[in-house]
Amino acid sequence: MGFFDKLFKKEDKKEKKAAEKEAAAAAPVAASADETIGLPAADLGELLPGAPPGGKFKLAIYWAAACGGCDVSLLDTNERVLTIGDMADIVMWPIAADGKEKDIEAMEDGAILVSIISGAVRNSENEHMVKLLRQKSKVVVCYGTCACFGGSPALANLVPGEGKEILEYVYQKTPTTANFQADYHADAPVVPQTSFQAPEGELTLPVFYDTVKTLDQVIDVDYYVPGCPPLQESISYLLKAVVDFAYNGVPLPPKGTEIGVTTKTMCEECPRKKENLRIEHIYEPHEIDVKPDVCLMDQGILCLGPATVGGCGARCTKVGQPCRGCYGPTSDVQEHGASVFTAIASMFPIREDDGIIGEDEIVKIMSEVKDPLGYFYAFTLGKSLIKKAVVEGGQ
Amino acid sequence: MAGPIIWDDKQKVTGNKVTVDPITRLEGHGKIEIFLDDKGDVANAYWQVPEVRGFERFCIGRKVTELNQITARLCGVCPGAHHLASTKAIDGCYNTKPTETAFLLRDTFYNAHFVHSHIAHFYALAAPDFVCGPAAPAAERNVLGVVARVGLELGSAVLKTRAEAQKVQAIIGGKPTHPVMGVPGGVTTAITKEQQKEIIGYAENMVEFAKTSYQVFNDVVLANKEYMDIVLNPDLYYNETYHMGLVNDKGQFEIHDGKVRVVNPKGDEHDLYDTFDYLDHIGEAVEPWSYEKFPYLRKPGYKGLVPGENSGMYRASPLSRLNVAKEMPTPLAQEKFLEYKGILKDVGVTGPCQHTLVTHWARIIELLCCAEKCLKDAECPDLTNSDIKQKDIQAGGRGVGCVEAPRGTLTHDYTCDENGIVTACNLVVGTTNNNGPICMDVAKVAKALIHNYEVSPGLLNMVEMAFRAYDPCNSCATHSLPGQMPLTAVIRNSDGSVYDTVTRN
Repeated sequence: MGFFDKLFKKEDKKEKKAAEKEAAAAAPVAASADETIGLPAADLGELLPGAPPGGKFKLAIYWAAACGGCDVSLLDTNERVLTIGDMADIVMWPIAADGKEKDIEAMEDGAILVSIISGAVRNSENEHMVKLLRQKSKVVVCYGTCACFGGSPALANLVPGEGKEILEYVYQKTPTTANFQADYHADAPVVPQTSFQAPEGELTLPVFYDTVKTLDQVIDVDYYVPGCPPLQESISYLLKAVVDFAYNGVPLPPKGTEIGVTTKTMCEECPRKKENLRIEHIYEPHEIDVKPDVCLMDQGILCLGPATVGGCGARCTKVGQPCRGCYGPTSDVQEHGASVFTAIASMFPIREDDGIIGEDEIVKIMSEVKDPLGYFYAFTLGKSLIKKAVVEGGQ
Repeated sequence: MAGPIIWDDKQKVTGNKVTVDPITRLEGHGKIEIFLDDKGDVANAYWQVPEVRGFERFCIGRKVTELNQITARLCGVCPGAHHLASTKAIDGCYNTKPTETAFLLRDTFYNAHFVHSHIAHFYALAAPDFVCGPAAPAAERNVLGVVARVGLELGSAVLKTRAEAQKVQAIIGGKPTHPVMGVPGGVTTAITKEQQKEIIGYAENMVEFAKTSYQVFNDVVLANKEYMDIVLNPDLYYNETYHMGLVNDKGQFEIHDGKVRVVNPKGDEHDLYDTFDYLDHIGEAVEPWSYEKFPYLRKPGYKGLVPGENSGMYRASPLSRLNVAKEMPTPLAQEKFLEYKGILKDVGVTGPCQHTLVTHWARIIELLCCAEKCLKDAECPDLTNSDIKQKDIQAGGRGVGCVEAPRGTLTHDYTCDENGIVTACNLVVGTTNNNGPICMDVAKVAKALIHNYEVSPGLLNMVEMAFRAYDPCNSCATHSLPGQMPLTAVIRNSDGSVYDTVTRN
């Protein structure tokens, strides 16, 4: 059955929904047969359809402070990506098309149906563009971990001295630049300026901010698709929601919905067997022979799986790396790192009947975790209440 | 097949500043500012990168073993390169090297990464300029336009081969974007015989596809005299600089593990050094108008963005790697390498090739070489061995990890204490090496093509082609999709107000 048959048989909708529910319920079993546990991809049919009945809608895809991996994840939809152009006019997509700021500015408010924005807000240009897109868009999707939680770049929020210190280090203290400054500008180092008068005219650069912000700290957003980058299964649910809305009038999900995640933790998708052993030592993956089938936490490897929402298909734990939590916390948790900490604390042998070790021993074990903030908040520091570094011991 | 459209009608503009600001990405974003003089000729042009995220600073204080995951987020287009360079630097911080099997797995992964990256660049980005023509309507200048002209069969082969190269990376690295397999002294997981078989199948396809790609390039570009006149015109895409790239102990092309070789504009060996000693050889200049740094050779030194033997400007790109390599390590690539050198010699290139657009040709030869290497690695019986990581290693010290990223020599340099906490971090990134030469090429092409206030969309695209040849992260995967790709030049009065715009539709 082709995509159109599925979409335009409205009378079948109830049946379809029931069938979907069944499929979803059956999925883990069916999936485990071909070794993919976790979120099954949404059924989009063979390809995305041609133009919607009401004509093409406007779509914007934008990156703020991002690495481009989110855009590559959209390109990794392979042949599907080629048909997005049939469904929508891409009014902006810097990695793939060239709509520009002034084209967006000229539009009526709300003219864009969906803006998919990746990346955190790191500088004045990011802020300006996301505010503009918010104004012109009916729906804003907060796409990828940086936009949702700050991502790796939000680790910069741990730097004491903030923007000034970061720029100083990057342009004056790294050894390659230090040599340059010493060799040529020993008296007054040359650094990037937000406004510079070149002989031919003025050149400007955006203002670098002190703090990395998540998208929803700067603009109102409608949906979240976490992941670094979101995996194809997650993307399929976003595409399905948009396609169902545009072609079939199916209402969009409630505002604030996290799309492409499960209702459980990453552990539920992980094929490793959990025996809930107690941690007595903490190891890194290179320090031990990691057993292929056993829970990494049971082997003493700190894994953020118990506090991280499912949806990724446990790609990292399958190859022997612990989860770093790129999909973010489960729905009711804001402090991802604190949530991990609680999960780990519960694994220490401190029950009365354990009687193995005392508090000193726990401190000793936990002190094996170097840089706990950086580890437990590897991806979610932008969302954390820990906005400024706690300067301790010199970092 | 309709012929490519190379030239279009010019349009007169007024004002003294042309801003080309659809340029996208290197750690984000980019723009070109072209300043006109009183006659309407180009006074100067600037390639600006308006973003920085400060990885070098916030990596300090982190656990060194986390850095190959953190720094992969420098670039989602070439995360494999960062992950590997970072893992090598971590090896150094642990004073270890990968086991033989781990090296082989990393190498298989990395050659597949190159294949994926080079396919994306050539077909999505470069081919539209050549197959459809630099002045073809923007709506056609994309991968669909390419497919329309060369055939749907090739189009689906492009998608399939790129996807399979991504799968090879996923098998070894967990995920193709932001892989996770690297640990000090090894990789996290061994692969099975079944997985090896799967990889071999994909790699065989890659080799076949790379051969086809060379033929496509030959038919479209090499066989088109009008293109070759542009490619080889010394007044356009041509700058005399030094060239840098890794070579193996035989002086052959290498991307994963070797020494850095630098040749001067005449083609003589200027330097051959161990990657650990890079600080003695290169520095990074800072200019007040860009967040991106400008690497240079400390000998002869930083003289600004100027060409020549007395200027420290160097390039590190596919063109450079074929300029520094004495030969290719695989048979098919070597055959094409000799053909390439022969043709260049026939048109008078005796030293290193300085014609920027030849970079595309070099990239296709690399594609072939990496596909062959990926297959050779994959067929190695040792690939499925279980000695995937070193035992009993201890953190503490400095490590320098250097690989050839698809876009140039990539260096990660970390120091950590005995707890594995990072105390210093320096990164010299692939595209960054070429920052100065890109500026120089952009300015040169703008000066050559724009006169008397006359600008056309096609001309502006030819200015863009100067940077596109380098495949700066700004552009990888760029311009690949259906939909509109207009380019707008904003013409400003001297007070900065917008006077007029020229739009390429």
